[in-house]
Amino acid sequence: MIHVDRRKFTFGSLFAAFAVPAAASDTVGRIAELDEAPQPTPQAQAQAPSPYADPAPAAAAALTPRWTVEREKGGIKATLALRNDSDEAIDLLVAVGRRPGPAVSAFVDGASLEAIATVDRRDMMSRVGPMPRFALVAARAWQDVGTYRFAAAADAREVELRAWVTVEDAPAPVELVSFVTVGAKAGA
Amino acid sequence: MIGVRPLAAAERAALVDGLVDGAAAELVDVDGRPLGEVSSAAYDPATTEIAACPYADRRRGEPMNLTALAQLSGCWRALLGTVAALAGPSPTVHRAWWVATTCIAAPLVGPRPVPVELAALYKTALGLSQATAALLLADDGVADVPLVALGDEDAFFAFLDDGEWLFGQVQVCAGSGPQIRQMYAALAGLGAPVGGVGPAFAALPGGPEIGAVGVEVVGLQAAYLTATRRAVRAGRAEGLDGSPAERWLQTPPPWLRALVAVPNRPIAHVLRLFPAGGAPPRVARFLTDVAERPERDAGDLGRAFAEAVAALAVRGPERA
Repeated sequence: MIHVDRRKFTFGSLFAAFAVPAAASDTVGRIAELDEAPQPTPQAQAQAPSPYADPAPAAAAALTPRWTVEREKGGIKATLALRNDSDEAIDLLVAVGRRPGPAVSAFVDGASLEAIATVDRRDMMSRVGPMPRFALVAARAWQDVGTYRFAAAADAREVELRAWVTVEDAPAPVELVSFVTVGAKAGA
Repeated sequence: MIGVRPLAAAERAALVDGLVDGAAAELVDVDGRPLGEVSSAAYDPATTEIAACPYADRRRGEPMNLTALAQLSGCWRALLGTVAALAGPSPTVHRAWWVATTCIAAPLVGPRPVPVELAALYKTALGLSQATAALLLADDGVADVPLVALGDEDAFFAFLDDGEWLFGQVQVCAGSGPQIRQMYAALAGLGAPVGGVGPAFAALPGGPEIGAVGVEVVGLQAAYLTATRRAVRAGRAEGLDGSPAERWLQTPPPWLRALVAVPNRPIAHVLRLFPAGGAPPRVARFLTDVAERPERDAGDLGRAFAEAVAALAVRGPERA
């Protein structure tokens, strides 16, 4: 006799369950799992946290950012890559749906810049839905993350970039602060 | 009855290899369009009409592919008829995923260039495969639940719209709200649409066998990728270079995206894709082998995967 699960599933309940990854303690029959660590909530952590929240120290996740900032019409384009400085592989949130995983804010002379929400990165499929994507980054390896655009004055010389990066098993998103000189116009 | 004859060995091998390699996206249809549209290297913007989405939902104003929409609309009744015939009466969530996988795999055993009906079926099913896989992987027991129990057509559309499932990196889904609701009704067995299986699908060899092979390939891919990810994460990456898993860890096939959306996902979650006790025997054996020999590295797992898909290609699906 086949047992049918009588729990009340709906699209909404399953979508909510999907948005919060399941705990790694599931076992089915003879297949025993090795890892029972709880999972983070990637979608919530992909949003910029409250300025009053204490982010985890950068050393907790051992990441180095690399920014390339180019001037373009109406603003700047900032491209982010991250290096895993630890001795172990990490799972890095690199995308949530069509958006890059890390939340990024930009400032010029202390004034925040308005983000321009566009995506110019082609993926394998034309539709990606809301799913988070974690990249497995080897020890000491670089990982391309994504591109961010901000409205900025034509004479902006240096931009402060703050990225909140989610790493699996880290207690909180890691805040990485960089001061980057604005380069030449893209394509020039 | 669907399927003019069983799959020949060469056709089954082409089906298995095509899913493993993701080859269908680069196939070209009789209109000269790649099945993968914007995600294909052969996509030509000069032959594609893009317009601002006019629909009154979250997609409004975003770029959408009108040329692909015209293709789908031209054979829409055939698409609905095929999906409804494959789904059958009272389909479960697993069956819905099985239907989507069958439609993704179908062009791999069809004629070249690919008939427009099969190309349109592929494009429609690719999105459905992602959504249904995500539903299955969300919890234990979803596979055996009737799809219609999750909600009606309006609930399904709201699920897609609210979750931005209709958005892509570059373009949004071009299907209208009524079309998406009609497709759900066909998939959920809510009344039979006028007309039966589309002629191009009806002319294919294999019929349901395409689905049986397809879901076993995807099950093996899921088991291999999940196990390899955990092995690499634990420092056993030897043999990863050049393997399918290395490629999929960076860019997973659309039908595996939900699987890798959870970092370090338990291997047992792969069984959620199938009814209780109904996983293909090769998939169940692969998972059991992984559990019994957790010390294996990426190379060992890659060899096990290659052996399993080769056996499937030669001998076909095993009976549970």
